[in-house]
Amino acid sequence: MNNNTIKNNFIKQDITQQDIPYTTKVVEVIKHNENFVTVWLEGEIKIKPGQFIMVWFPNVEEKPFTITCIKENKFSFTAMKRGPFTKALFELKVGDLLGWRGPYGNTFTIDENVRNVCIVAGGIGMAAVCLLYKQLKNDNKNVKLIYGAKCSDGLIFKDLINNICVNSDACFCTDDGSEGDKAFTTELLEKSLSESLSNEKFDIVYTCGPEIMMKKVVELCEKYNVECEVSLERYMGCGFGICGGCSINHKLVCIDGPVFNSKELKELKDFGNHVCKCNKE
Amino acid sequence: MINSKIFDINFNNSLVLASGILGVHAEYFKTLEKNNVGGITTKSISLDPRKGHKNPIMFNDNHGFMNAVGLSNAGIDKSIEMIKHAKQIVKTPIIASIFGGNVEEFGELAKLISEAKPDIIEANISCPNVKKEFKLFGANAEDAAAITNVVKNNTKIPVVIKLTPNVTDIKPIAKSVEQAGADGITAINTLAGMRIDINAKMPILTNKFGGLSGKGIFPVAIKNVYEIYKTVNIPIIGTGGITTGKDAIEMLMAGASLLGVGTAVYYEGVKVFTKINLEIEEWMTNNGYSNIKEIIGVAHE
Repeated sequence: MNNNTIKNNFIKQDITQQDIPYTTKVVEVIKHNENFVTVWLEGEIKIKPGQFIMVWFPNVEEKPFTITCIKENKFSFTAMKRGPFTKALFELKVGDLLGWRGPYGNTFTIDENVRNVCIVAGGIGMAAVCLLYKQLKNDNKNVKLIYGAKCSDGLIFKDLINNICVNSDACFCTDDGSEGDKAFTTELLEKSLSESLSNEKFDIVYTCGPEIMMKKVVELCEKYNVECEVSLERYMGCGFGICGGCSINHKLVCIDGPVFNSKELKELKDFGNHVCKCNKE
Repeated sequence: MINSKIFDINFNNSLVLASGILGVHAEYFKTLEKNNVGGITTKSISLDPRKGHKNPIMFNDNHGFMNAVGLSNAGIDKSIEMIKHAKQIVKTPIIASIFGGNVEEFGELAKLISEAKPDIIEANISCPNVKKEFKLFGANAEDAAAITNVVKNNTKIPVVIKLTPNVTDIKPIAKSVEQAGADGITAINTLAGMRIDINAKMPILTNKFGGLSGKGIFPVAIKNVYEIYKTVNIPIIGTGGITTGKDAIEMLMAGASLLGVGTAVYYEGVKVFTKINLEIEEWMTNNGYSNIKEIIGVAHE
């Protein structure tokens, strides 16, 4: 944990973790539409794809977020309107203060020998794989991105993706067909997996989105014998393995995850049953 | 060598997971057991479910670890099911921590929780983070005795009382719970504290005040356990800042029979239990001890 005793081999020692909120200024607030907001914070952050931070909104609460973009002396996280915390984010103004601590959790595995990879993102789940997508592209991997949402309003990362990669080969889909294919991400994944049998096979599939979608992604990967990593979400208290709030069976999402591979998921029988309670707040 | 029999219960080792750390989900107890925990204390259980305080509830920096979780728990009904489930899947002794708003609630909780057959019941009369809602029964000898009495009268399971260091003198409180029939004492709970973010100009914890734990409170814990050992004849679960085998030996010498480990899990993860046990064994071997009981209270001789 601190003293760099983080239990993950993929985390390099140069990442220092701070466990008390560090307050910093909001430098930009982008309201994509009435349901999605991106907040840019001032400062540097060293974080690996898959990890998360705890964001403290003084007088409101503290919640876990992944980082969606890092630029010079600023970085962003993106939220979907769910409860009081995310509602409050829409009221933020430039110059307001937010605190953050972390980074926490393990990382997606990026094997340097891997060539062909696929990312399946559902809705706000794209926020958890933005840095991954960027890094894989920087590493010149063949990345197939399948990104879906309920409707076009949910595809808020479309521009960001096109920024990361000018000739983006991303596949967009929506449940209602208002943008991209009228299909579920899992349908496009199955199509890609079956096509890739005769072509170059995926070495790994990464996914983040509704748990029911990820469960299906894992099943498809098993069917086509492709490795898979998912990023899970649970209600989180401390973020560093003490409060026990984010347990899934005998594991903790905050320190054993949030990224779990297919093999680990087989032992987690509660995987696939989780529905975010925040929707009911 | 490090196994012992306390309250007529066999402990594979003396390291008990302190209340409030990970003691929430039965299935995670398996992970704790695999990591050589000697006993597991549940998070404190109340009659009704409690959400606890909003985040931030915990943080740490060079000054120490702070928390104000606000006794969040699933309530007595679900907790009974959780402990029953845990008893089926782990062999490690389980200590059920309970807390109530008045004497009657403590009695009710003791009666109900006994149905789940925990090995020990710990009455938490010392949480510093719920002062608005709950009286700090551990703050005076009469209240502490009244709670001890009612808990004892409602169960046949051994009862330990968890005391607070946030008092002028812990000795008369320890004495009164012993006289009221307590089988043991857990000491200490966290020290009351507070931190302010100087940019936001406000307290960091949602509850404003919190409990300080970790390495920094170790000397306070040693002093309190030493004084309690001098005062009573019942076993003590010495808790507060134990992080290494040497800390454990020191706490035993002060008079603890069992050792609570909490914030060390934050410092080093659940593997800390194995580490401390190995260090205790190494120290015992190097110093000619073959039974951990021989070390208890030797600083008093």
